[in-house]
Amino acid sequence: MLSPDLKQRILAAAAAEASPTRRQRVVRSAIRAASALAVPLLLFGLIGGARLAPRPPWLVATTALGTAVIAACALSGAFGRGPSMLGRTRRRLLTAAVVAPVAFLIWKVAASSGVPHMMDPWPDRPGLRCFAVTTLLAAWPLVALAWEQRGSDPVHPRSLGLALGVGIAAAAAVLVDLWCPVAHVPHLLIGHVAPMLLLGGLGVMLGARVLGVRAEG
Amino acid sequence: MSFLRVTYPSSWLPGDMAVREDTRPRAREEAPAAALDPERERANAAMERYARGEDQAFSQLYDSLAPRLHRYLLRASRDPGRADDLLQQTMLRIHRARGRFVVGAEVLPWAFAIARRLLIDSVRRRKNERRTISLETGGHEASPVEVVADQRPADEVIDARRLGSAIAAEIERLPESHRVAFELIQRDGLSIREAAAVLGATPTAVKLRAHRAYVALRSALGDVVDEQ
Repeated sequence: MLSPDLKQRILAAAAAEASPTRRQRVVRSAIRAASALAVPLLLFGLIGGARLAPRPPWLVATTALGTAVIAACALSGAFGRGPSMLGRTRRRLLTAAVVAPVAFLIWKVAASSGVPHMMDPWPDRPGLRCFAVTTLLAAWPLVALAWEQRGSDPVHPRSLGLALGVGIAAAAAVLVDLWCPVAHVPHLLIGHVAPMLLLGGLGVMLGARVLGVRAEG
Repeated sequence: MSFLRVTYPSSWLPGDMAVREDTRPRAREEAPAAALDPERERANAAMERYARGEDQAFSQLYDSLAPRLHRYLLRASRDPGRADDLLQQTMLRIHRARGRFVVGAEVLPWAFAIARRLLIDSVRRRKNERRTISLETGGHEASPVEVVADQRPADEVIDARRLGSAIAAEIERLPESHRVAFELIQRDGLSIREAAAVLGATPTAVKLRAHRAYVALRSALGDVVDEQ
């Protein structure tokens, strides 16, 4: 049986702990989202911003736009809750995490293969710089957005973290795509797809530690 | 007039066990559960008001959620103190996350999912203390069949108690995944979709687990009822 004391204790504990209302939370979330967007843009500007040559501008626009659509789908798969408080199903999160890197690779190769020399190997660009830049651009948004979602997933926090990591890395890949002209497949795998896997792995770790619901004491 | 209060629908109870059966609709998978349960509607409305900033609504939310959650936690932990503690933690998680509550969402499956996760986490933490706790097992809820009024002949009361014990024992014998799915649906009143969301499984898998539990119970309890 529930004791009246327990109710009083719980009500008192809740009253003693401030929690943001929906409206307050929207404001805070908007600030966090803005910082998650601003920091990578700033870093992108510091490393030189977009570099079109030697690609034709339409190709840059096409690959970046396609990558943006893929990132948006992956992020909506990770962030969207639908009409439920329990978020997306595990299957949907895992699908988003698997499909995003594959779709990015296919899109990039398909768009670039029709343009002469775009798929040529660049021996001095194995992809390590792109790997570092993608990871750098995605790091802060991953931390900020994971913090924003902390303690929110009681069912499958690791899967959510995975989808979040991959989705954010896919969003960072949009900027990197504006910067990197190489479409050689090994370069794409090392410099553009591997960071998505790395960030996905970091997302899994953050999911277990930050996104999940954990008992106290 | 004396009668047995049965917490499961008669559809899975053998023979004449269900003297008065649960009147919850059976096709809960498709129907929105809140529309069928005024208590759930009250909980959703209280949560919505609480998310908008009406602090007094938390008390109403507690009244709507706490009995079900506490029953679940007690059944699963077999420890009244721990059930109280986990209920408090669950309600505080809901309090902290009120700003995140999605308009039109169901609060009950979310609350159950939080309670279940806290319970699992707490069991894991206490493993170091070498306490023997088995997750999701029936306990303080004496039996699914409750004797409401014992004005019947003594042999009927004894039979009913025996039957209740037999049901509780059979439920404990079920594989955990089957038992949890079955109990969330039959005891805690979640729909198949909601139970699936709480367990992080597909509705088909949960339906199958609950069905297997039902078949196992029905087959095991058939003999008991025949004897009586």
